[in-house]
Amino acid sequence: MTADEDQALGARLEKLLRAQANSRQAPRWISDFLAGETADTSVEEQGEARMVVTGPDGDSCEIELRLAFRTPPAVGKRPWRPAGAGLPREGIEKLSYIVVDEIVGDDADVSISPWPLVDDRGRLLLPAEQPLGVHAVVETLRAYVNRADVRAGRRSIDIRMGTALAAVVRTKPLAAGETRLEKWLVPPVYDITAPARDKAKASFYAAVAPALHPKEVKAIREAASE
Amino acid sequence: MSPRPRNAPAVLPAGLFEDGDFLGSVEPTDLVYWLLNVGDGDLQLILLPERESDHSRRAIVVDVGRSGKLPPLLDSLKERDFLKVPEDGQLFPLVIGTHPHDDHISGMPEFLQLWGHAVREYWEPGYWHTSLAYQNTMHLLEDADPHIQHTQPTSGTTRFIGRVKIIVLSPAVGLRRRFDTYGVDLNDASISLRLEFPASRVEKRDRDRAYVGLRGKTRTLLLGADSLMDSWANVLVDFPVLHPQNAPTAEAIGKAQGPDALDAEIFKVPHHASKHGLNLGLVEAVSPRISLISSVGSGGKYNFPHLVTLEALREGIERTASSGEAHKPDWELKIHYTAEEDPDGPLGSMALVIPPKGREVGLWRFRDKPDEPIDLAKARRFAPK
Repeated sequence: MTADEDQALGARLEKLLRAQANSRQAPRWISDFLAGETADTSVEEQGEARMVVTGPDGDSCEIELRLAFRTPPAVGKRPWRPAGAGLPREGIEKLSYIVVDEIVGDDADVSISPWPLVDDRGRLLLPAEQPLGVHAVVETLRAYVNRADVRAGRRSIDIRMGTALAAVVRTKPLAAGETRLEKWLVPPVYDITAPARDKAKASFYAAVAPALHPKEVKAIREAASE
Repeated sequence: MSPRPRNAPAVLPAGLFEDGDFLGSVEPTDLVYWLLNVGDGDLQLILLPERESDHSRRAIVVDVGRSGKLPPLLDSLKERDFLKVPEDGQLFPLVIGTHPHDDHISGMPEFLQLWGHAVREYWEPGYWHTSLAYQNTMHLLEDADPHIQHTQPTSGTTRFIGRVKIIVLSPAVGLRRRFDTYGVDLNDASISLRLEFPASRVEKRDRDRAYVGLRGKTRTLLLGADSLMDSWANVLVDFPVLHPQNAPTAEAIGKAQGPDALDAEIFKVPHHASKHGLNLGLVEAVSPRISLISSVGSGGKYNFPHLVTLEALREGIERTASSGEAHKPDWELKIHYTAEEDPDGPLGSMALVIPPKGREVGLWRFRDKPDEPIDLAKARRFAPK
């Protein structure tokens, strides 16, 4: 960012703050402070996002400033390539990430997202779009996905909560309310449940305790084998 | 014209609501419970009573089943100075993802991105799920570590936050230990809660102090998440219903724990009133005075709420099975749906203004659809004559 652009951003932030001060009928000293016409004020920064400004009569106001990422920061993104699932080498980004999210009785709620990217820590990233939800009858879905893949020797796909699939999805019929599988789910359908569960499990454990360095893992394993 | 489905909430008669100043109706000592209209999903916001020390309110979030709904409401409450980030920055002492289904946490990543800096503790059941919403929620918690305490509570876990006592009813320890076998329905991993307000406390007395027991004088809420009967069966073991209380065992447990551990004045009905989330025995154990149902109101993916469940709820509130008489209308039984309507249109999200005992609980509606933000200016108070 150039110095000019930096100044422009500062001016825009100041404009936003002054608009807030006006809408809240702030005292004059706050407007003066925001305009750089320093009144008898003191400023205390609290953490990385907040400052408390105290005016001449001891009144104070808080200014909060934070970066809120509506999508994850774009660092080291690449399409996820789960090992051992038999996915095609080319065009993987054309697939969709399909999860059997919930089953009630005979009915399943299937969640469909664009193919996930993976960041430089190996984490699957949620696309900006909300997942599409579609209803399916469990047995019909089970029969379809097992019929849809003609490769020999493949294990049958079970349909339960958490089953994850990869396939090309026609989103236009879905958006129009079409639920017949043959209209939106394009064969072949790949079972990616095992690698998807590995990713989910890793995301849980990384969230409850810091990830270990390979040297730490080696040391732990060596200590355990003694 | 085709007949209205029997499980669809009836259209309420005209004239049950009156204009009013919603935020102006809330006293500093009141707790405000919101059940937002997100269709077949849950999004609950609990605004705690003002703290005595700095007169600020803190908030608990239970599930964010849709993005784009909670942040505008929080912004509106902040703009009106009803909520402000306290000096310690912890506006949300507790956020709960009851279980990792999309209809409960699909909006959680957005909420944590925008408000994670103000969250102190996050509860989830510890049941990992392949959905991207679940994984991204975990990633945000990973990034927040150690700023956000991350906990997997089981039945009996208790947290006091200000004047409110929060008790985890489920999942039971036995269910929790079976999660990784893939043998537990993800819904049964749900964290269901009982809230007591105001909680028992200690009274300052000159140079001494004394315990102030408020048993029987508190407001109680039971938030059922998506727990199904496997989970409730365990709850009934962990929190036995003690009436009739003429048995020595019941009397002894009652003295130790307080009677009727499941009794709750306000009941957020489990699993959108599905047929597996509730039976008559559970309703009788809870004995609700106000019952709230979050669903699209017939149709939808699973045709929630299920008729058999609604009948069990009605019978548990008003016993007519033996006489064969018809039940009163749901609104007279104080059963309310996010999906219900009156002649002026959808009633949408609801907020209960819950005072300490002595005043009536106030029910407010906001006339929003699931994909619409809440407009506080549209608040109408439920005031049947």
